[in-house]
Amino acid sequence: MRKRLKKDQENFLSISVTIGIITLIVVGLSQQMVGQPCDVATALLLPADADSFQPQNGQALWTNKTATGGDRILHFLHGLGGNADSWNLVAAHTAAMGSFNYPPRKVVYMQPYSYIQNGSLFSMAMDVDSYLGSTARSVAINQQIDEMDNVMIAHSLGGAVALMLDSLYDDTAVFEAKLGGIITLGSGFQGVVAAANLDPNGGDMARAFVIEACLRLSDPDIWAYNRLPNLRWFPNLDPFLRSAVDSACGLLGSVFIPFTLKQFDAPVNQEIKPSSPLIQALGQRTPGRPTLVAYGVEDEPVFWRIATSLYRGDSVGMALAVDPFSMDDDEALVTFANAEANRYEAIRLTALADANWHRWMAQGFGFQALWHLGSAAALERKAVAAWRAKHWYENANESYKQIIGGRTLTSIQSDFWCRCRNEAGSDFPYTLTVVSQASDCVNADPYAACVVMPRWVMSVVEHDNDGLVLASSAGSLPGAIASIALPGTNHQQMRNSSVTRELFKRIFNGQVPGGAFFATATR
Amino acid sequence: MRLLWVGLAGLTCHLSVTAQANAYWEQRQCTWSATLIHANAETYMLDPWDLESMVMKQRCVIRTWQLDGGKVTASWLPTHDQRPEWMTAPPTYVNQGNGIQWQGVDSTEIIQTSSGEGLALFTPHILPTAAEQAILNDQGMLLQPDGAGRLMGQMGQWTITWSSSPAMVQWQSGDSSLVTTYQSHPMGWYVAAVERRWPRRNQQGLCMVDYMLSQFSKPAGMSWSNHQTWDELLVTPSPHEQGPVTLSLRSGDSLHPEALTVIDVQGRVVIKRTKLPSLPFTLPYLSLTPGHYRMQLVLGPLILTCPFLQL
Repeated sequence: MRKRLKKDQENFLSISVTIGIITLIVVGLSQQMVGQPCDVATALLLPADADSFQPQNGQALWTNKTATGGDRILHFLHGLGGNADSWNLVAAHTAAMGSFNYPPRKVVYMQPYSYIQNGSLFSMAMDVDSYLGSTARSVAINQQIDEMDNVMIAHSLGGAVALMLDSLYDDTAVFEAKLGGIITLGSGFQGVVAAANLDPNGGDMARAFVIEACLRLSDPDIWAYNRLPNLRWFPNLDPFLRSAVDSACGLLGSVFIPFTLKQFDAPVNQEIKPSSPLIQALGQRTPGRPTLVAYGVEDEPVFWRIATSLYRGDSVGMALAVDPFSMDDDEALVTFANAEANRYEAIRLTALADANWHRWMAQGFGFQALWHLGSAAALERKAVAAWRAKHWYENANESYKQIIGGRTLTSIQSDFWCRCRNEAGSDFPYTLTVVSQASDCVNADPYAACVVMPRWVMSVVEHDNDGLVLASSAGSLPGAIASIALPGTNHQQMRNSSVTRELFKRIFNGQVPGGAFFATATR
Repeated sequence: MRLLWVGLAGLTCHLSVTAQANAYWEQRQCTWSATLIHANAETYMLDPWDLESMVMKQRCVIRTWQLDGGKVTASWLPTHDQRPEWMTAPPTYVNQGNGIQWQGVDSTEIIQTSSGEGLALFTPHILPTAAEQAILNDQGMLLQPDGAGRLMGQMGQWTITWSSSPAMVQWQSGDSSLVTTYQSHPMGWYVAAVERRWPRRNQQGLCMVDYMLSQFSKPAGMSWSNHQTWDELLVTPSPHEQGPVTLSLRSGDSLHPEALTVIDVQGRVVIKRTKLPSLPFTLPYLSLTPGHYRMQLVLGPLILTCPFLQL
């Protein structure tokens, strides 16, 4: 009995120990998961002493921009897709410091960061007017500057906005003019052909251009990924074109095309097409204040040069920071395209030579001959693919110029086709001949049954351009004080090239005939 | 196969026929096409493709067709009217053609084979359309002196007009027209010309007329199903001496051979030339070592063979 009691006590003890251990584990776990205070972890951090920075000259917050002093305000206006970064280096160095061979002027540094770009020219002009009447006006008052001394320097679409603004100021009952003069660079007052041709709902030529390039350069027989330039702006393509590129090039599209077609689905493009009544009206209107227009005339091949400038737009920051007019070199992709054309020609010739050897070896019999035939066929395919790629590099410039209107087909109805029936028994029943006058297409024999049709002759005309806008459009504005050519300068360069520096120097020196208004003293 | 020596004047060779073909014909087709617009039309805003289409273009091809029992095989072969490069190049470069040219537009070759109902589609225009054939057969209009007629409302909106001199049928509907001109041939009527006008509006709304004139030469060839009308190839002078030789057909027909080969006694092809002009043409000297050879000229299913001795 005692023995049994002792055994029961031992069992109770072991059971109690077991239950106790389990209880401890459960309690421990529950304490670890939810029971611990939230500040346990932070309590483990080392205590930190407050050591906030105290400026020696007292506290000051950057609550507003300040402006340099000066005799006038230069308002710099960017183009489509741009912002204050487009002009800021030139604007800053013009207001102070200057640059190599470019003295600073007594002008106030300020510029709008941007203006709305999702609307019409009118909306954009309203937005700029709002800036002029608020931020800019307060600065003008502070600096005791007459707003009529201020000048707007506008690039590309900005020039059209400036002209639109100028036209709004004709309505003195609604608007108060806040501008004295306008300088435009590369603004297509007679319309921008590219806007019509690149419009997905218009000419839609961008897709054809890109797809052709993709198909020719992505041929598996010749494709070499590491030979292609990595063009970082390409991901910013408009969605419509993006999808076309993706379907034609697949994932390779991002590295193929040295070209950007951003923003050409923006609503304002409808208003800057050559056929737009608004741009036609602006292009025929005499500005209400002194206006200088500058236009670029880029050297050939314009496509590869503007592509270089687009490519380099944000990659030459260091050079531009030192000299804002140092964006002259646009040869990189010209050299690249020539090298690629030569390389593909070498591939073609090598493939052809190898193919000929295989054809010669295939004159025997058996599987070996078949193998040689197959090899020859593959090499000939490679030669054709290489020829197409070479052809693309050689002709991309011509295709591109057709998109921007730099190369146009013109038709002239010079004379007439005369179609007459030959005498019975002739090899061909009819003969087509050319006659100078419609009345010359006669035959006394009614059997001849001559028919006259107008004959059109085509010719290709090359138009000066800056790689995007035609010189004839950017340089034609009735009533402008002067139209100034920027030789060897493309649309992207014309804000930051050495030619631009010379242009601004002459304008601010008052050296442009009739442009005394723009003379601005140096600091 | 027979071989006739005509002294030093040349060779006369006879043909052999491959497969079951029982007729082979060729026709030269030239097409002129352009978009017509009014002489005073405003062309400033025309698209480039519209402008380009306004230029009259001419394209010629060799149409061939061969009958093989119930089947007809039609081909559209490129013409090589200009002397091929190898005819003027040194002989050592004969076999080193440019691969690009072989695969370019110039060498576009279309071959289609069909039978039954497809026959009319592929047979060159020697067979008129069913409606036209009915006019030709039932009325005999084209065979009557100064015959002419007019059917209106019989073919939907189309008005059909025909005449016998010249032999032609015109389909007219508004500004659209299709004029088919026929000429006679020992084998029957063949279409000698098709002239079409088809108005349309371009994207700017300008009215334009697509104009096309296709003309077909008299069919040349051979048929040997019932009565043999084999032609003969003449090679003058005999190629047994080095020097240029002229190849022609005794009938004077201008057929377009696909290939010319020279084979030695071991059966090896020592010369093969394609992109040939139409017969007759002159070959530069063949540059062969002395020995026995066979010259073969391929015309569709026909092979004209000439054995000769190179001295």
